[in-house]
Amino acid sequence: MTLLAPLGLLALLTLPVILILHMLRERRRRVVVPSLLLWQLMPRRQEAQRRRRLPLTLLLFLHLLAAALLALALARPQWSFGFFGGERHLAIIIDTSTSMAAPAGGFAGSRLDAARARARELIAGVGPRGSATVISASSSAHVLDAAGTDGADRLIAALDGLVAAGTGTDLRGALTLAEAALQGRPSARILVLTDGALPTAEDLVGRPAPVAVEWLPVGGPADNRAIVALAARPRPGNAPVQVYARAVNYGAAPLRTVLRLYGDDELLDTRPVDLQPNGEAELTWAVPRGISMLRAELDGADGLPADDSAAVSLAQTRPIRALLVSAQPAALERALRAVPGLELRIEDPVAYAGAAADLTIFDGYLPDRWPAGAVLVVRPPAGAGLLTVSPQAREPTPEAAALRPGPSPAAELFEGVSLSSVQFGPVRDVTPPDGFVIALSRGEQPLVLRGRAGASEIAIWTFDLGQGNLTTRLAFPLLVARTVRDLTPPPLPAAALVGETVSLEPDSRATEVELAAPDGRVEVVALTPGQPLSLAFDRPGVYTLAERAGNQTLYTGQFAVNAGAPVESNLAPRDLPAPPPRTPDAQGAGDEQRALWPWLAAFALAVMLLEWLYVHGRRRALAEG
Amino acid sequence: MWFRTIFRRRDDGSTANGGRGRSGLRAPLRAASGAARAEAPLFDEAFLRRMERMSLQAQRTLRGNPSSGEHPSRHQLPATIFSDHRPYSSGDDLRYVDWNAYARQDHVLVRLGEAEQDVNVHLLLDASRSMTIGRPPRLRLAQQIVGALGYLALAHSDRLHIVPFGPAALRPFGPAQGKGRLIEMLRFVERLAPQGDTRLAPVLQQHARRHPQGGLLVLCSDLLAPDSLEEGLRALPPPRWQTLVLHLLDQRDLQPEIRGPVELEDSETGQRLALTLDDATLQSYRRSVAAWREALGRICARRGATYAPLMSHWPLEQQVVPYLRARRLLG
Repeated sequence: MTLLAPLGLLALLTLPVILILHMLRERRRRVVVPSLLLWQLMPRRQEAQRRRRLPLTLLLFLHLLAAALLALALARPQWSFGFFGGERHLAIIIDTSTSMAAPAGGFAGSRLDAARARARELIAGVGPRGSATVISASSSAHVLDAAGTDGADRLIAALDGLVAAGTGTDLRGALTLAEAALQGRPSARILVLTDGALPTAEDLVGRPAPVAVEWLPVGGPADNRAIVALAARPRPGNAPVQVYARAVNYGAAPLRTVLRLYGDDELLDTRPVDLQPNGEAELTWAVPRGISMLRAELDGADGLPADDSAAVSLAQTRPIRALLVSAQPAALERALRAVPGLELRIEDPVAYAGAAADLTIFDGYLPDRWPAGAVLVVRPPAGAGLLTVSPQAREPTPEAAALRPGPSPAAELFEGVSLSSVQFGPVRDVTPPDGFVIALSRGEQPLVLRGRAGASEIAIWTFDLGQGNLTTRLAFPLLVARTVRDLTPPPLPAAALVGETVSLEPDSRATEVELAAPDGRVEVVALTPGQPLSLAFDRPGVYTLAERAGNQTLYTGQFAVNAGAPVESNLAPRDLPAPPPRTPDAQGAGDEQRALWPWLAAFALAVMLLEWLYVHGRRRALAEG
Repeated sequence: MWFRTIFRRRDDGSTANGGRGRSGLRAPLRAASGAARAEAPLFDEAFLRRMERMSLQAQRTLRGNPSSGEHPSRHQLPATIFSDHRPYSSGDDLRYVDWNAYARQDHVLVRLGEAEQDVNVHLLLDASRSMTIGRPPRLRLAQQIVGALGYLALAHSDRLHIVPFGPAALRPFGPAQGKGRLIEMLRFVERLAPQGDTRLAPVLQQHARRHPQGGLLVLCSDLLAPDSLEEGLRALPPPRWQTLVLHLLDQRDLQPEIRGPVELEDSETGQRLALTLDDATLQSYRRSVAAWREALGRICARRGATYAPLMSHWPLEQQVVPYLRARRLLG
């Protein structure tokens, strides 16, 4: 039974008032007697004592009953009939963020283990006609499974597979999933098992919920210290790399510990760190270049060991092997050599035999088929089979015609690049192949095309670099560098948080990605051409990624996944937000909650009617007597 | 019988006395009090016929008028049926001279016989409001008793005084003598209206002063008066007064049927008293009532009066009349 207006119970204060009134003025039945002569001889001593006692009369009972019923009715109680074996549908949201790996106070195991045990009890308590939906909520929310009593084993198995890994709790998403799962179900409830580390708690304020939400806190206070930030900034030239780390003490006692910094698993430095209660320390290093992976470690033995270490990758940049096929490569060569990490090889179009490269630039030349990888075509010739190019170059479009970027994201190439004074010269009309978009045009004349053909990422510049003045402008090397970055895969992230979804864009030639986890597990993911790869990592450590095209390994890189984050590493108990208010239309429609106040009020009226009949009958008897 | 028309029932089709006679003669048969006004008549015809065979038992010491009446007198008068002699004195009626005794004893003797007299019958009826309380109301039994005793007094040529009283004596009926006053007497009794409270002693003292000759006095009352009965009886000393105190009691006076917290209201004064009645309290009350009745009996005995308690629910002929005969009021 739930009370919609608990303040209504204040009306129960009328009960002692009624008792006091009955004690103060006991209502006596009036009896007419011939004379009081004989009654006045009665002893009066006992009468005075009786007046202090509570008169247990039917009238008092009726008064108390009516007042109690009205007070209960004011509190607007609702009774759930699901407790009598009716339908009872639950959505159990389990917080699986990193902080749930901390020990649970009063439970032999982690907070996630305690939540898992509580969830098992809830699943077992679902009635024969009920159902349970288990939802995990960390960085994102997922429905693990939904079943009735017959599928309880399946639900419990899904619970066993939960891992506490994730930064943040997408509780809003989890509630949306739960409400969708319980829509139209009677006696529905959403139970949230969490330790209260809810970064989105503020978002829940004022969010109406069509289903009743109940917080079930798990866990207790625990001291913890963590490395919540580790970052590296390479500097140009051969200057050392700047490294920054921040360690935080989330305990109530001061702490003196040691932070060790490793470079490619070799100890680079050891620093003593003094951490005040709820204080932090910031440290910086300058490490020599050439190190691909940095790792910082604090002394462990705290509530959450996973956030005592952090790593960051320094070898993020992918090497690009570029092949320039041009008879007059001077301008492009200068611009390409300015691109960091790019290794350039130049061939004459006559000598081009389809050599493999990460990036192939054709200047005034087109092969019979697109080479795999990134391709930049400048001034495509007419008569080639891959593109339809007009034999005559059109007269330059008047300069008054404005440059028009194409649709996003192709147009992002030209953001911040000043092309307004550039003369592109005579331009051949190139018919965009299927799947290509016009990234830049002047009037009706396309200047830059962008698209994909098979395993090739292709950009086409329709203008002739030798006819215009682009190569003399500052925008030229900028445009070349951006085009190279757009055509080649982006570098791997230096580090990511546990549970964070990382979007990887592998080489366009790759057919699969092999991912090696820190614990040695290897996962091979098949690639869909042109589609980025989204991965979430549930364990902290260094992951190794290899992009393969058949038996050929195109690229191997590493990146780090860290568990330390302020929202997860702080294990202090938090106040759970108030349950979201229920929408008015869902008060009676979504579940079997039945309002009891009309029945209570009717019963109170019946009691008052009975009281009136009793009093009236007594007065009549008195009058007749 | 001559009073047959009096007791004719409402549905009787006789028109012997016309419309006036129907309303005028039937009314005294109805109860006097408001509650009992619509009830059965005070008497029925057969009861009065049976009552006529009885008489009031007045003491010989009462002062009466020997010219009429049927009560024995303490005086002896010359009579044909003699019981004694006395010497002849000048002026005696020669018809009562016992000539045979004169022949045997040579003395002129006059035959003396028992003298009879009528007496003054005073019926004092308590008409206070407390007499209307009870089931049936005490006033109804009092009206029946007064009516029956008044009928006997009129039938036996006694001088009848009926004095209703409340806080003071009301307009009396009488003195009346002879059956010719019967209808008037019954109508008077029937029309008694309840009064306020009861002042017993002043009423009795005032009545004694008005009737110094004394007589047979019957007091019908519940005796629920704040002043003392003894003060009133002191004004009615025997042998001039033969006093009978008929104490009308209701069953609920003796055994109250009320319990719990009550507020008792005096029917006469309106005074209220809050009490919580439980077994102990009611037991104490019953003891008080018994002591009160004993005290009244002792007062009456001390003042030469006869104390006769009557229950209001007793039927008149079956219990009250035999009781009065047992107490030698009726013979």
